Amino acid sequence: MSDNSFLDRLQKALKLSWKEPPKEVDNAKAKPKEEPIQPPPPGSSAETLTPADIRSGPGGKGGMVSRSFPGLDVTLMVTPPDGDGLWEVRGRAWRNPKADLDLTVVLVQGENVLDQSVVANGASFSFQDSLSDAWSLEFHLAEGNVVVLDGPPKE
Amino acid sequence: MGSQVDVKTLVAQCREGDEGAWKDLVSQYENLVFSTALQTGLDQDAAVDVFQQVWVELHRSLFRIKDPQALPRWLIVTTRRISYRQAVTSGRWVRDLREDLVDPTPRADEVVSLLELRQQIQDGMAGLDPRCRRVVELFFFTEPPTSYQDASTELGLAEDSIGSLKSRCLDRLRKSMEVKP
Repeated sequence: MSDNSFLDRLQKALKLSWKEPPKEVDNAKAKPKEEPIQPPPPGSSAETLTPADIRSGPGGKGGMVSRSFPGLDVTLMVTPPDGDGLWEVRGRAWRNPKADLDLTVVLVQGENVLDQSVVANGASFSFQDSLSDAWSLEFHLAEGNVVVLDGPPKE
Repeated sequence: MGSQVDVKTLVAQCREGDEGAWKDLVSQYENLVFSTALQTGLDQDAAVDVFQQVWVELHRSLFRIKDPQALPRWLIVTTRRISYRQAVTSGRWVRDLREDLVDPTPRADEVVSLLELRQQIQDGMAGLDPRCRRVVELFFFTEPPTSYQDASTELGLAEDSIGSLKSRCLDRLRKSMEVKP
């Protein structure tokens, strides 16, 4: 980059409003207690939702999806955005065979864990976020197995 | 401003649970996250909410980030996405979906590039010696820029030496920012 280009870019960047957050948010500097969850190991069970799964509800909006994996049964309702850009993903997961063990449900998009929830066996979970393509739901079981349900590919 | 630790090192330390590294990481990028949230049009209170959510999401995503050197862009894109969600769910803002705010792999976007550059400037300034840092502040951070006469008074230097000092310091800032051609 030439000197003039650098100077030009520098001056444009310095025109951006650049503010310190207020002191009240210093608590963000305390490391969260919740430990980050590792990505699924290679070979984890995985399936992909189809666009038809999402459109299978009334008026083509919001479909009930059921899937069975080794050790886990999942039922989901995936509702695409209705003008506000927010998807809703809600459902339940049951250990199979039955086991009163919690599991962690994680909504992932690329390199981002958008949300996560620790739920008891059979309890409901619900997420709402603005999602583009390539989102996944990961079900992390207590014994370390992970089941992955990939969202529908972008049409 | 003090010296800033390499982001790759900081992320590695955070992955090991180092609380001090986490604090340093947040400190290093707090202006970027807060400014990005404000830049999307949120008011201060909403930007504060977004700020908190971004760090929670970063901590959860620590093991998913493939290239820690790209963390500034990750933070910008994440902040913009959460800002949009915040605005929509709080009913503050109803308008057509802006694809650039929700797409995690953004297209070339001038504002994102400038925010990244602004963070590089902050990081670069921390790497300058105090005198050069002050020179850059006087000529580039103040509006209008300081005159050579006022700069020579403040710095205790001859006025005819200010021009070359300014050039040298700008060059050091550029090197410190590791600006690629």
